[in-house]
Amino acid sequence: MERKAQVRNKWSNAVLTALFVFILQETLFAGIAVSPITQQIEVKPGKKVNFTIYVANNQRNQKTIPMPARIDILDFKVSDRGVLYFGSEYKHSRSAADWITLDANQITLKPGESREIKGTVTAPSDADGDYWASAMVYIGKTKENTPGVQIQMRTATGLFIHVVRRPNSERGIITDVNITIPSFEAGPLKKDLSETDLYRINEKQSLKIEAKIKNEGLIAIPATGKAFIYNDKMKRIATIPLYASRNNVLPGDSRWFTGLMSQPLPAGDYKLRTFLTSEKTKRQITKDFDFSITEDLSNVWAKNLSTSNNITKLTLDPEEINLKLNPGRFTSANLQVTNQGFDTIAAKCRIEKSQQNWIELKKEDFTLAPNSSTSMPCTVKVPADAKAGVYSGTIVIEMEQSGLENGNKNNAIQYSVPVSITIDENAKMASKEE
Amino acid sequence: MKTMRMLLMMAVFVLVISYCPKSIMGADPGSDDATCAISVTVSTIIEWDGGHDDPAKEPMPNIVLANITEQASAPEGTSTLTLFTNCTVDIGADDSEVTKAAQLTHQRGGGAQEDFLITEYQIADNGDSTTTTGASDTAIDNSDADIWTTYDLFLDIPLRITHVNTDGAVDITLSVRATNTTDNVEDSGLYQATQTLTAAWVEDN
Repeated sequence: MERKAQVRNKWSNAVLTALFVFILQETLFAGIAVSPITQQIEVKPGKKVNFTIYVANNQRNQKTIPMPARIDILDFKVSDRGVLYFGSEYKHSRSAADWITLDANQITLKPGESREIKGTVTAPSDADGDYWASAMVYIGKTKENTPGVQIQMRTATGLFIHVVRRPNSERGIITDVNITIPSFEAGPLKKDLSETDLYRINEKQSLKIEAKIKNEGLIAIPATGKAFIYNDKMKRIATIPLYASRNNVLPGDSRWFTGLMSQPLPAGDYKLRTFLTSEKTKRQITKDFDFSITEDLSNVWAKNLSTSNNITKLTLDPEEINLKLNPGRFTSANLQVTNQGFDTIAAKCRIEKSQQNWIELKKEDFTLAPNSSTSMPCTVKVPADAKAGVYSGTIVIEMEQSGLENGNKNNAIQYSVPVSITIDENAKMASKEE
Repeated sequence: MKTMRMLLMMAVFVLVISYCPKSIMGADPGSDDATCAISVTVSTIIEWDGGHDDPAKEPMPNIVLANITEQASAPEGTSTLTLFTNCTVDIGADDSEVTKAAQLTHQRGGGAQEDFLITEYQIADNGDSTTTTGASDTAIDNSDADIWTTYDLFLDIPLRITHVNTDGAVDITLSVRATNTTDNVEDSGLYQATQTLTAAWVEDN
């Protein structure tokens, strides 16, 4: 009898343990959304300004549980290759970490709950120019004595603070220029190579230009880069757009801009002129560099050039934008632009054939590395008194690719994305009767 | 006096009715359509979510490895989570050689001495950066995300997740492998580590 009771107890313990483990597994389903990911905050010296970070525990299924989160103000550094590093060890002279306070650092969000975290920036009276820090949102809690590897998820939001004391001018210099001459040990590009190998070998078989900008001023420089190659008669023979992983160079930071050209150069002596231009002020800085291409190299380069790596192609998604909107509506659309070629490209974008000023591009210039893409947001604002009808416009993207100059023409190729906005009759009637 | 006041009030009433008869005595105008212009700006969002529809996959946040029973044992474990995003993000990892938090470590006797396992990581995603949100082959190659990398070098160059229009979610799978150091067997006991995955912005201007 006693033995039976022991067996029953053992069974009930096992069932309870299994149930406990099952419940524990269930409780692992949770997460936290953070928005926005970056903020530009303006403040006057000696003054305070507020900002908000939104956090939410989205109830995605029945198993969503209350979720703890911690928000720390952390310093961050951007390396010269554009990599972000977070932590107190990356404190720098333009840190805003000590100026920022939050109304809550530890919170627990119920399933479906969202919350505004209010922050305050207090700028010292002697502050001037750009400063920065990040608000790091740690999701969940790690536990002591847990075997194996615990995963701590966190989301970083960048806080870029501009202290408006006086108009500051950008002060950047190009400190270094590197040229890597192509090498052809791998032989010609083959069609059966994987995409990764194809791009890796192409990079080795291209002329690689790198220019490093240093920001010596007090405000960030959003830079774009370009390099021109001149022959011994100082005639421009090639253009190479330069690309950076993060093109916003913060005060005190340096950043490498890189360009690739797969088209072969004839043998000769050349002058390279690198340009870095501010997107904001259009101010340019330059640095020159001399280099030579030998006869042997030129021959091997020309022999290894396949026709496929001479074609640079942009893909656009979507290929046309069709919107059905009501009067007074404000919306946005994103255009995904991908560089499928082997060379770096630069693009200038504009709106054409639109009689209304309803469409605005949020980004007008960008550069892209081979096999990379960017998102180009545009906003559409329909006036409240707009009449029913179909309105059209075109987003024009003028792409300039690396390569030799073709007579007097540059290497620009034009792409168009038609935009159509339909305001239907019902919307018109409704607004008219209003 | 009372009659006079009464007459005066009636006169005012008749005057009001005759001036705007429709508003007081007009027929029921019936229902009317109304429009309301609604606009909303969607800000950049990043959301880590430990939930997963596939019960075969372990949810974040823990990876429990099988026991190491011999010198050559190399247990591996994975964990998958979903990253919801409407912008391109970089995923970085804790590779600090100072804290060594991401290295599987066994604490002995008050922490004076530590034994550790060679701890290697990989990260993968289910997107392709062109048709679905995810990492391109070049991005995977740049960050060596698909190669077993020791904790101190893991994601030295963060993995870039490119957002593709209309696709707002990508599955991220973290894998870990633990091995004994060469020609050695580590002390028996519980080995622990914490790997921190950071999602951060790409475009800041």
